[in-house]
Amino acid sequence: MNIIFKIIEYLPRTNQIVVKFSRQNSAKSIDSYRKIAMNMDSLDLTDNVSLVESICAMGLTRIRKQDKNDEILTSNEINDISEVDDVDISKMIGNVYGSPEKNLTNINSVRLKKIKV
Amino acid sequence: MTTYNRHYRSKKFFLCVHTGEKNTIGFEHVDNRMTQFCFVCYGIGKYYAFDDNDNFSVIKLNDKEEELLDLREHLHSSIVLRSSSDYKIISFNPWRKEIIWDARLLDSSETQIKSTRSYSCLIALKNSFRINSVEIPEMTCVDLDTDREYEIEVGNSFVGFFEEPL
Repeated sequence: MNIIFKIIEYLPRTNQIVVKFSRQNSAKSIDSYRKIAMNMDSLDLTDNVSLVESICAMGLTRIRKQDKNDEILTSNEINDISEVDDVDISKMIGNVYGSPEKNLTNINSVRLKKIKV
Repeated sequence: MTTYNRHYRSKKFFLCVHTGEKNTIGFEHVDNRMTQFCFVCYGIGKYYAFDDNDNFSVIKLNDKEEELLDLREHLHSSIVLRSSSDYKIISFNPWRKEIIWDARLLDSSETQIKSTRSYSCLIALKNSFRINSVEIPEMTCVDLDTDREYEIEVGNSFVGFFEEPL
């Protein structure tokens, strides 16, 4: 099962994003799901992949109950995400991103600690 | 037989730490292969790197302990690893596979380090070292400024010096 989300809005004043979640193979478009506000402080901004995975992890319980056997709608197709480009939320707004559920449960990934001298 | 993997992400590369037991067999398909260098903390074993014609090269992990293997030649090969003892290895993987890095371990006699590259870094792969009198703990990175000379005390540590091409 792949978890997908769409960032609808970024709220810089409260440092929140407004997000919709879905299973990628849901029969319904991601646009038809309820949106929720998510605090950016609880997300991993190390890089784009970490960010996407941390958002998906936050939505995991919400979408776990959905049916597994629907076909993937065109509007639910996952966009490619760069692992090397800087994180830019504004560029992500309106696009669908996602991660296989197994990546969220098996990852043991941390940021390499750096010291400035 | 267990293998524990931990990833350390950085902007230009990531490190994978693999620890495993004797007689572990691991596989890595060429499509997933990003490793250009591999630091062997301890352990004995062999890499088998397969080319497109089903020929394979053997890379031994047992020439000496604590070495930095140059695996750039096998970047486009599928790999099988078989360990002959418990082992711990740390692989260096640039995010961009097409960019070929340079790397070496610092010698314990070195007291100064400088790089002319636009990006280079030192990573404490085993034990801590000192740079400009600052202690750098194991599995910590220091980015080096271009053309700046640093005082280093390697001591009993193993420090990887990684340079992105110009």
